[in-house]
Amino acid sequence: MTSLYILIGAAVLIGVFLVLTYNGMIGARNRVDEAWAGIDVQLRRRHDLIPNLVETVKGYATHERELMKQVTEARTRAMGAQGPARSGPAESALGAVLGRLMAVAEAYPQLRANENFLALQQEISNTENQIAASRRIYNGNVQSYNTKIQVFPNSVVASTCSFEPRDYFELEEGAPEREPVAVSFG
Amino acid sequence: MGSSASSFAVRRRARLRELMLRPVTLFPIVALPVPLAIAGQAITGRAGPALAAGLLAPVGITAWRMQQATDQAEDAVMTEWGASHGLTFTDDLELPGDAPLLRAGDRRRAENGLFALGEVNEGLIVCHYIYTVESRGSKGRRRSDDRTFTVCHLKVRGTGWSALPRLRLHRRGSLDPHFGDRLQAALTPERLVQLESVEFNDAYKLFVSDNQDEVAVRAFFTPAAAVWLVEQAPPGFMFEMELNTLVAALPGRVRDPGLLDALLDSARRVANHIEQFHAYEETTVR
Repeated sequence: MTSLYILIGAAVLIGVFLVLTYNGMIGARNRVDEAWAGIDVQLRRRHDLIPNLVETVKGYATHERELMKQVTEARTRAMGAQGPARSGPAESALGAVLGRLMAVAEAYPQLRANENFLALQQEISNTENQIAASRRIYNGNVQSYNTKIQVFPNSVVASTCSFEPRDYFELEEGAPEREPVAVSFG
Repeated sequence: MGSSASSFAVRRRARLRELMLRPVTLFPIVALPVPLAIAGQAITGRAGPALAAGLLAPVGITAWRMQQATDQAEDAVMTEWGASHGLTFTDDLELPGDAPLLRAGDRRRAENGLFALGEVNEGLIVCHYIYTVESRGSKGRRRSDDRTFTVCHLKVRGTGWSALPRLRLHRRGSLDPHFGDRLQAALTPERLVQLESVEFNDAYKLFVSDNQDEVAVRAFFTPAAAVWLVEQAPPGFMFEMELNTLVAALPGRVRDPGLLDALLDSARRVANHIEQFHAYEETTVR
């Protein structure tokens, strides 16, 4: 009789462990998805700002057609990239070419005095800052989730229930969103 | 921060030395045990207990002087820090109860108050704040626990309308697991909000009113704000917002001018963010 109670007790404990572990993994995976959605919002915001920026610059910097074409192409590639593994390189390339455009704009005093350009520049800078912060949050969540599904005995539940590790959102060296975040409460 | 932290310790040491070397302190320490023993022998016929009391007296006197030195050094540091920020020192401050932290516990008191005069920092108060929770133990014995904070009280401008009238952001202690959150939320007319950042949720507990729209909370806590709170806010930083009042706090009695600067700077950043948030919400809704 005692052995039966021990067996029932062990089965209940294992059941509770399985439920808690499974729910914890689901929660962690949802946090990763939620954080990626946060990055996606910021990336779309940047993509939406670029056509206005290009139009504004075009009016003053007529000799920079090639650079503006590169910006437009990089934006198209970035918009087409899906998921962190593909978006990372595409967004890095877009960030780099945008940085070049901003640097070139410095050579046109009339453009620098244009209020619309200044507002767009500020907005893009803020968005890049938010992308950098969102990236930090996303990668933190991925690390937490990946650790959760890879440690023993969670790994047994993870492999049985097909929990796959997630990719980090990596940006290449030189991308503005890879710079230290000028994080501020604002 | 290290040198400014030591300024309190240096002042306390100097003050203690001065207090201990006063004749009124030295005399009882040196001369009290023997007369007490003689008096005890004469009155009770036993010198032992009186001698023990006489030997304990120096310990009590030293502890009293140490407390005095601590209080005076603290006053000096706070007065000096306040003066460098245009704040006036007062030891007779009554904090308005316009935030949950300032209404907590059974008894409340403020010490080393610093307040602003004039319009520039209107409503700004920095002080040490203690609230006391009274309870009864299993044997009916009364118990009181003090919770001490250093608070920065600010008035936020331009909050005629607000999508987020009140919130409490508290630090999560290392022994404060998540499973207590629901219970805590159930016991209050508040709801716990989890942001998308795991690190933020591990570091903070964010409470809003039960009927609060969560979209506004998420709009307020931008990714940059969440990262700033996790990575750059001073250790133990917390804040509460209620209508146009912001109370930012650090646990314990902060006597380090560097940390007081960090508290004030952080509180101003949050206040500025609240103002921008309200301005943005007003323009988008109206």
